[in-house]
Amino acid sequence: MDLFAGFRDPAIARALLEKIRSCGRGVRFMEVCGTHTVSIFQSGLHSLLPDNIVHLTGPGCPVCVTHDAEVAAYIEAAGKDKVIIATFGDLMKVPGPGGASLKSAQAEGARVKVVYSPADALAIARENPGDTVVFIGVGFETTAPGIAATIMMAEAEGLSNFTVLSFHKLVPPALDALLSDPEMEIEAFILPGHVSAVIGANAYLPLAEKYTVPAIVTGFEPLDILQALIMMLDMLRTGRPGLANQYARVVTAEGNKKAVRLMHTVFQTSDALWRGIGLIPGSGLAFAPAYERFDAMKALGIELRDVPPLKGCRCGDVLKGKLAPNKCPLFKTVCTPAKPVGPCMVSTEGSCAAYFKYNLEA
Amino acid sequence: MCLAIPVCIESIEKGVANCRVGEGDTFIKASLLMLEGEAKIGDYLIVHAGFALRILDPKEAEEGLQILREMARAVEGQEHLADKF
Ligand code: SF4
Repeated sequence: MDLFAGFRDPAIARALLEKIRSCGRGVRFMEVCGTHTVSIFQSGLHSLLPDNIVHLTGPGCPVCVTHDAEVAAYIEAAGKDKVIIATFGDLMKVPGPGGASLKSAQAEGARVKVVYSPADALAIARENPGDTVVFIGVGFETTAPGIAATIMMAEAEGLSNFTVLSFHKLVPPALDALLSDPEMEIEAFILPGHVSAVIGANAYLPLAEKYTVPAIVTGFEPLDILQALIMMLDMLRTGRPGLANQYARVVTAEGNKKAVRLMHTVFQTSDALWRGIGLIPGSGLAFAPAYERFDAMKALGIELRDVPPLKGCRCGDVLKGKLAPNKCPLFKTVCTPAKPVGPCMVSTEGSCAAYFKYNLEA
Repeated sequence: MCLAIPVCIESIEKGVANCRVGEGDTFIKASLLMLEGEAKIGDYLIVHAGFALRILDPKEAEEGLQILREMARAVEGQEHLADKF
C-alpha cells in the first residue's frame, strides 16, 4: 500500500472537488489545528476550493494562542540568573511586551536553546547541573503527554534542575468557547487529527450533544480534507449535523488512553488564557500537587501579569475566524515574517504567515 | 511542531524508533513509551515532538482509500476516470 501517494491522488482530488462544486451549497468551516492550516495552504486547496467554501483558521497554532501574559512570563524567566530556556523554535521570534522576544533576550545574553523534543531539554538539564532548565510547554493534547512523560523521566532520574512552564491548552473547551459565542459565524468544524488520536473521537461527544454543528475528525492529506468537506456538506444538506470520524486509520473512539493517563498524572485541568479569546475555564493544564516541584513558575517565583496587548495586531480576531489575515491593516505593510508584529505572522502554522507565503491578496 | 505524515519505522533500539520521513532520506527518532500496543519495523507512526502517539492502522487506511476511490467513481460526469482507480 502506498500511503503517501494514495491520499494525494490528483485524479481523485479532482473528482472530489467536482462533487463539492456541484453540491449546490457552501459552508464556512473552521479548522483548529496548525497542521491543517499548513496542509490546506500547501496543497493549494485554499485557492482551489469554490468561493462558497470558506476556510477559516481557528485557534490551532500553539504559538499563536499563547497569551501575551505567558509570553511575558517566559521572557521574564529567560532574564533570570542561572536559567537555561529550552524551547520549540517557533517561539523564538514571538514578540512580547515592549517588542522583546526570546531572540532579543538571547542577544542580550540570555541562554536560550532550541529543542525538537522535551527529551532534548532533559539532556540539557543533565549536562548543566548548576543551572535551572526551563522548558516552555506550549501546545495541545498532542504535546502535553510527551512533556508529562519527560517530567516523569526527570523524577525517575532524580533531576531536580528540570522545570516546565505549563502553558498547554486543551481543544474541546476552546471549541465550546467558540461555539457559545453568539457572534460566531462558523457552520462546521474540521477537528484536529492528532489531538483526536490522543483524546479519542468520543471526547467531542458532549459538544456534539450541546451544539448542532457538523464536526469531522480529519486527517491531513488533501483527500482527507476534501472528504471531510463532503461529509459536512452532506450533513448540512440533509439537516443531520453531528460528529464523524474521517481519520479512522489513526483516530479511534477512545484515543490513546496511556497518553491521556500520563497527561493527567502530572497535570490537572485548570483555567487558561488564550490569545484573542481570553480566559477559557478548564482549558489548560496546571501541575498536579505531586509534581509541583517541576513547575517553573513556582521554582522561579514568576506570576502571570496583566500585560498590554500587541499594538495594532488583530491576531485575536484572526484566531476566532472574524478577520481574514489580509484584512489586518498591518498585513504585509508593517507586519511580515521577517519583521512580525504578532505571533500569527511568526509561526509557520500561523494563518497570517500562510497568507503571506501563499501570496493571498483577495 | 507536528508532523502531518506518518513515518515508517526502520529500526528500534531501547524503546526509541528510527523512522523514515516520506520517501526521502530524512530520519527522525521517536520514543515508543506512550504507545498502546507493540510497534514493529515497517509500522507507520504518528509522531509529535519526539513521541509516537499512535500506530497507523493499515487496514483502516486501505478501507479509507477504497471509499475515496468509490466516491470519485460515483461523481457524475467522471465515468472516464473509472478505470483509473
Ligand atoms: S498581519 Fe501581523 S499584525 Fe496583523 S493580525 Fe496578523 S500577525 Fe497580527
